[in-house]
Amino acid sequence: MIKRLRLALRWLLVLLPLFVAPQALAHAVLLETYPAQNAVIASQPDVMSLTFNEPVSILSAALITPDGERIELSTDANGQVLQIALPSSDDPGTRVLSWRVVSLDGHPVGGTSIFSVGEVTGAADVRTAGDPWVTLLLWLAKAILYGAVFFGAGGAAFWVTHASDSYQSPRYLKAIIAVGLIAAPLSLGLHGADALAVSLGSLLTLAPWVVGAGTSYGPSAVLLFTALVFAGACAHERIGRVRSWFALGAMILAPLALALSGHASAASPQWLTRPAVFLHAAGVLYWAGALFPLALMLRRKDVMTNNVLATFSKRIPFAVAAILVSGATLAAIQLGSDPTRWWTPYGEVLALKLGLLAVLFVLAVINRFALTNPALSGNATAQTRLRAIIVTEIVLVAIIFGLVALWRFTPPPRALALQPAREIALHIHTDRIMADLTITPGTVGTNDLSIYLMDAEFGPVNPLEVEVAVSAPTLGIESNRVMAELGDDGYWHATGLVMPLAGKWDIDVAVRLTRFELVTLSDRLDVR
Amino acid sequence: MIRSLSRAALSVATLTTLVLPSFAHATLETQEAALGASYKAVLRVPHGCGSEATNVVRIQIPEGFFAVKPMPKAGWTLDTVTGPYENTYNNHGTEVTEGVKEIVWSNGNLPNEWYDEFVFRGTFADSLEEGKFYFPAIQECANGEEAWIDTSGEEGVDKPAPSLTLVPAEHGTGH
Repeated sequence: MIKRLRLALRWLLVLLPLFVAPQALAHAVLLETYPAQNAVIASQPDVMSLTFNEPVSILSAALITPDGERIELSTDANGQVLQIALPSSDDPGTRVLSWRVVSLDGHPVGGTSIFSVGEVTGAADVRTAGDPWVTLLLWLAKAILYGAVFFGAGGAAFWVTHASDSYQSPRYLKAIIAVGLIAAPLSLGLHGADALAVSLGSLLTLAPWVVGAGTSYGPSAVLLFTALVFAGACAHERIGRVRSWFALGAMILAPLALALSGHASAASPQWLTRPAVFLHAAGVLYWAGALFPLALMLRRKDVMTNNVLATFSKRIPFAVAAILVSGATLAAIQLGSDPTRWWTPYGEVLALKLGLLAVLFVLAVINRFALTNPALSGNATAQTRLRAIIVTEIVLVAIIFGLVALWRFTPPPRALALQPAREIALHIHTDRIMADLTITPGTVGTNDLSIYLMDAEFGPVNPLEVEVAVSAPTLGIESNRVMAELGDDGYWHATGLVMPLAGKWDIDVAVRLTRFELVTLSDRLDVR
Repeated sequence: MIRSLSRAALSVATLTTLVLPSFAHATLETQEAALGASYKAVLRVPHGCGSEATNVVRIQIPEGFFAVKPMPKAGWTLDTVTGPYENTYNNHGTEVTEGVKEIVWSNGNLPNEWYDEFVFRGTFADSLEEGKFYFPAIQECANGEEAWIDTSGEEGVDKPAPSLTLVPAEHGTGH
């Protein structure tokens, strides 16, 4: 009894950080800048400020001057509002601040903020994209690391907890773990290089490693590494009691590591997402970990195989239930409530993953209900088939790890929804009246519109009513009409205009000037 | 036999679709008038506001249509809004500088299921330009309105203002 209590207490201690972790939200999103984006101002301020939706740390900042010179700004600003000192200059022209920050969820976000002094001279399109090799290798390292943790560490833990003491762990489990021990630190450096948007060669310098360790992925990589060390120790150890402890350590540390970083863990509410990630990873660890040992045992076909197979088929429903419940919860949170935003790269990866999972579940059901019992009773054909299906499952799971590693590069729809992105500003005029329109966020989905109306001499206009309609004839989408309301700010506001697809959209603002006079202002937008 | 039947059905269907939209709008019965000539306007009101009955019909008289006389209508109160014209018009030798600018038939009841016509007459100035001429009209109901006031002339607009086409005066016309 006391032993159990102690065990429970230990679990609690291990899991505690999950619940008290600092409140992180999503990908950092730039909310506003000073000077405002594309503003034209009289003189350059000494300090530029960037306001984000959550605390961030700056990784790099560079100012591109009107004559095209790039000045690296040294700054260690952090917090929700970044203050970046600008070198003093009053040359007229457009300035571009290219910045890159890292947020609590460990993901770097880059952007450019543009303003002009005196006049707009335009500026080259400044990109903050990094080295494609870094991106590719980062993906590969993460995919390999996932494989090593789930197949290797999970496999070693499965082996020692299900096989009898006298059996040594198979050598290739140790090999997988060894590969993971290399991939873990490498992924940390690559993560840093990606965050800084520097080339692959810079991995020879210290900077990417320091930055990588400084992001929220740092602790995750360290914990994954530790979990792999535990797994290696448990595969190597011969004394049953000791190796069971190592196995337990690996099985707790690996899911914990994944719960500490990544966009699923960073989503709100954290009291739900972090335990869900933990549960998801723990379930996968058991299932994926069982595959290699089971395939091997089925080839050996000795007495032990039957015991292990029986135990596995009893326990696997719990692991699958954990995976499904936590997975569904996380997907619902990540996708957000706006279905028009689901079909993003994130959603595509999710759809592929779900497709593969469906196949995997079909195979698992065949194994469990058609093949396990005949195999247990010694049917050789069933045993061979079971083994073939398990090998297929290993391949599918490996592909899924590759897909999941792609999520590193695709912000979830929930984060995209927060993005103020670009708003679309339009000026429409007829010989009777003119209108300044601002469409926010100006992207696919639900948009709000504010309209400022003037007569041809910029004088005030007091219409009876204003109706806004958006339609996409080329996409075969009919008008969506919204009545605008006059706000205290003198603008007419139309909210909830839905533009569900990217493409050319017609916008019509019907202004009822007097009882008998209707003026319709029309323009076409490119919605992305 | 079947072919000709289906062909007939098709042409009926085509006709219906061609005729229906114009019937669903408030329109003028006579679609053409000559510059400088008098014109009897018959406004056809095909339906109410959604399902509501029409209680008020207003017609704006744009500049250039002068010497306007509305026809009274049983069951409706007739009012006009008068004011100065922007230009001066010659009505059979008399200078006209002001007149009816809006006609209002009110306190009536035209259920959505019924149809009615509202009549007025006047003269088109010969100084007007050829082409489309609009009489913006509004039906008012208990809780809403149908405003036939879109004079953009674009295809497929929701509620076009009733219109006719002005053509050049016939030769030797002087009544």
